[in-house]
Amino acid sequence: MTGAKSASSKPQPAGKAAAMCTQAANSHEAAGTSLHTGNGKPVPPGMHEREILRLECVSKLYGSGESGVAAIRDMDFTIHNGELTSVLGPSGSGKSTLLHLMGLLDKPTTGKVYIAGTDTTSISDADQARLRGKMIGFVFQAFNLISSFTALENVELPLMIYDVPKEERRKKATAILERLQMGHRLNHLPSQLSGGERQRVAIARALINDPEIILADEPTGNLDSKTGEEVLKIIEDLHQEGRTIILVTHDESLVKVTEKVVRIRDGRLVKSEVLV
Amino acid sequence: MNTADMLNYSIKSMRSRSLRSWLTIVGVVVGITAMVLLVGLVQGLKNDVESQLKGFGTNTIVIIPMDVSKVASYGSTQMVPSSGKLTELDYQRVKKAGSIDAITKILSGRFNMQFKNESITVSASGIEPENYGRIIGSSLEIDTGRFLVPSDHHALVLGYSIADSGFTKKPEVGSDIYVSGEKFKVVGILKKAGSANSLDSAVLMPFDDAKSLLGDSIGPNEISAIRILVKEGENVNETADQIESIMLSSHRKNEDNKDFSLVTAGYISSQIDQTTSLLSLFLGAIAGISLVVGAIGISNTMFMTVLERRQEIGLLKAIGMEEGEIERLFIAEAGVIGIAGGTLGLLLGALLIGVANLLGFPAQILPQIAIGAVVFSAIVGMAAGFIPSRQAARLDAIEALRYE
Repeated sequence: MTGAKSASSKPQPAGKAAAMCTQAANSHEAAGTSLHTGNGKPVPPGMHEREILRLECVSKLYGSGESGVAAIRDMDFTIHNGELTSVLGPSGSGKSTLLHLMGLLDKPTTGKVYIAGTDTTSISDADQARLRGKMIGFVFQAFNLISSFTALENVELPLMIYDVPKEERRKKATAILERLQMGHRLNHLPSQLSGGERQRVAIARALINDPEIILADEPTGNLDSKTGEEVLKIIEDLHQEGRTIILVTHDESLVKVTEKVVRIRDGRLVKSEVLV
Repeated sequence: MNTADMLNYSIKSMRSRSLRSWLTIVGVVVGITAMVLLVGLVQGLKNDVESQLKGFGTNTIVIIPMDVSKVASYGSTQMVPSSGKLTELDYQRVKKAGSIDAITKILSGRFNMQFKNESITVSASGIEPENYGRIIGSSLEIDTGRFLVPSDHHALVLGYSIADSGFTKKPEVGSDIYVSGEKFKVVGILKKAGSANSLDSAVLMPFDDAKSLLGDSIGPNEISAIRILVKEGENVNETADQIESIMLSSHRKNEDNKDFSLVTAGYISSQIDQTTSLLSLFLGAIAGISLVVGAIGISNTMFMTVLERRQEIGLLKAIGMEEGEIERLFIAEAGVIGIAGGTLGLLLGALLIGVANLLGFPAQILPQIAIGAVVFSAIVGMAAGFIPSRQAARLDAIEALRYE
């Protein structure tokens, strides 16, 4: 796993995050580079040098004033092209909120979220939806397949939204499903598939638009450990192919496949570390 | 998402909740079937009456001594007060109006008719043979014998049904029939004009014979009606207006208290239109109410669908579907329910119209009603699905995804 080492930052003491964030907010460049060049190693050409996702001093508050609760506070980190990152935190740590912010399903109260260099906080809802469709592939714990659609149609769905001609999208969806060993289940309904198979379909759906980032939310949460391992293997394979993947989980054991981990607790970034 | 994909999506979603979808569709079917059937019945009735009207002749004006526009408000012809009388004087005055091709005075009454040992009571008319024949024209066809001529005296022409079934023994040309005790000779029998045509039950005699038979029971110069044939190419309505003003001054009346009417084919069909469109409106309202109930059913189903499919809506948002498109997707689904209900309702309505025809009701289905029923039900469906679809589009993606 070459180049993985370069992708992280110094461990940050949680208590200082707010203060650092305020400084960083004044200079985007400073925040980005400081994280990026944390361990001082050079970045190999063609890999990891491209910034895909950057959270800059992001806070998400629910309610207002004194009674307001911060689900996410002063979050700062950068994800680069080809990284497999895990976002690890116990339940209630704010990782769902973080997932929604990274996935453009939600907007931060303060701070900025950049996707491939685009500031997504100032764009319209419709543009956000478009960006989400093109840039981000979601994989959910509950698979979220459409029960009346076959495996193939579920995978085609994102292309359907963009009016891709039927033959083209069918061809593409078939190819992806075949690659995930689902070629024999193309015309099965979700109810006729096992949990692992459903998650494969969901992964195929996340891949169909060739997104910049795959956001996987507890992808093994609804699976037994053996099937979970298989799904994890798929995620590893995708990473080997150069995909940028963010794995959001509370399960410490998933961290082993990732090369970088962002640990959060109580809405704050506790530690961002490189594992390999 | 293009329309074909949207419809495909909608149909698949509906299939996965097939019982509820079908029940909702049935709700629409009831309304559309009622609409198609009731409108069809009214249309059939209208056509039936109009085909009967054809015998009347489009260039014909008939003056009768009663204001028929008041009939509706009094319920029947007998109850209209101050029915006037038409006289020879009116006849002479109207005769001078322009654009008239032919004109005849008619004197009608109910008479006792005796053939062999059998007697019946019929309504018979005294006419001026030449003029009458010219006015009635081609629809007056002789089966046996001949039509009346001016020199006839105590002669009768019988309509088809009078000759055929008026008496046990059928009178023929040359038969003697006693009318109010006076001996008449049958000179002609008319061809069958059609079930609804009044000529079939006509008994025609020379005007002077009718007048002498009625004797003192009528006024000295009284006549029952004046029948006019307007010249070919002349405007019937303009001629009618001209005659109307002649009549008004002759009777010293005005529009409000007039005691006669000019009946034209246009007038009759406008009266029929008025009646049938009122009937249509009434029956349409009944069908409309059931369609409203159907629409509420669609709304209900769509609200439930949106609630059940929150996770799916969340997913659609996650994969980049915009609010407007989600809204359209659900409106399409409601529209599909409407179209399905409309199409099935149309088929069922057409089937029932077929049955009605077999039973002898002249119901009819017009292409514009058929198309209208389907289009209308689609619109009703989409309108009913509008608010639920909006709700779907506005769902918070995060909440929707969290929902299990």
